[in-house]
Amino acid sequence: MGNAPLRDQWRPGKRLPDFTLPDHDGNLRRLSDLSGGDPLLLHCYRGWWCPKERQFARRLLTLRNEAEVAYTRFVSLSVDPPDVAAAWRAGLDARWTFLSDVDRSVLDRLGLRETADTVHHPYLPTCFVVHPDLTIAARYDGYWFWGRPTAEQLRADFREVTRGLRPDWNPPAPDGAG
Amino acid sequence: MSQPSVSWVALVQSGSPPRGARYSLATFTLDSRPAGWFLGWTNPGRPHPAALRIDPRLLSEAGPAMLMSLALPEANARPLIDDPAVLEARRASLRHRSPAARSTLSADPVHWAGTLTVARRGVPLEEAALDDDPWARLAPTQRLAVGAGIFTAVPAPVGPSIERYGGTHPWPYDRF
Repeated sequence: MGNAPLRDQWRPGKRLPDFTLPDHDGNLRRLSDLSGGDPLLLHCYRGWWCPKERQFARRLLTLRNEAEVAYTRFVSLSVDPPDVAAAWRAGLDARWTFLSDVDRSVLDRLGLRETADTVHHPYLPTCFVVHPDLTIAARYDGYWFWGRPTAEQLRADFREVTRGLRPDWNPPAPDGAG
Repeated sequence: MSQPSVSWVALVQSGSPPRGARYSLATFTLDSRPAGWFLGWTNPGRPHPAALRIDPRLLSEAGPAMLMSLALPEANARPLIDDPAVLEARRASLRHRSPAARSTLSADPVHWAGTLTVARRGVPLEEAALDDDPWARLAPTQRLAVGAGIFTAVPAPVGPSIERYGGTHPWPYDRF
């Protein structure tokens, strides 16, 4: 265990660090503020140039239309500068927040540096579904594409987090009902 | 300091500022003609017949001078807040680069009564965001200027959620 990579500690039940990074508009955003009181998908991706990322982004776009009515938030995180992230976000028609870790401070804190790419030094593709207090509910390692979550897996994760989060998951009974 | 949960604004036409508002600033058109008084309150109850609820995070004495885009439908022509056109304007607000802040305005839990979008003066990207205000497609819209001391910048909504957090809250107030 002593030689386990740093990234392996970020498993379900552990709490992610509450880091602060600039968003695609250049405004500093704290992860816990981004989560608010809702379930959050933290999507770490290599960069716009990776065909696997372009393919996976389309999967998230299909889920976006459900998330927009389900009190669920997405945050995508890469080493791209804000202007580059903003351009890719606009091209995708993504309507969620993109964070920029240009100096790779959070990347190294999480141990998610992809060492096989010595040109971009990007994030290892990784998805975390987290509770509002940043406790990890699920993690998916996407170095190989099939490791990435399907839309159905993400729906199931969001369902479980929301079920635990909303006291009225079972709607209140009418007055006088048993 | 805790954030008030209910805040109101109104643009009123009068020669002198009406009394009783927590915030009261003269407002001008972009060619410097007087355009009335922009008022703000943090009362739980409606403080003025023209007052509309706003995301309380937008009001601040510490805020800088702002340019505004104020879309206001006629009171008898307000669409439902969940009308597809209003939903699409919310999506467009998430899609575009951000102004300093934006809030829908509400007079009741079910209708869209307007949207206020503000940009800090001298911040070109924010000012440019007012040029393509998606809410301007839904209602007559005024471009106005107001001095420091009433509106502040609020982080953009995270997305992709576009739902209100409770029927009476303006969007994008993002907590239950």
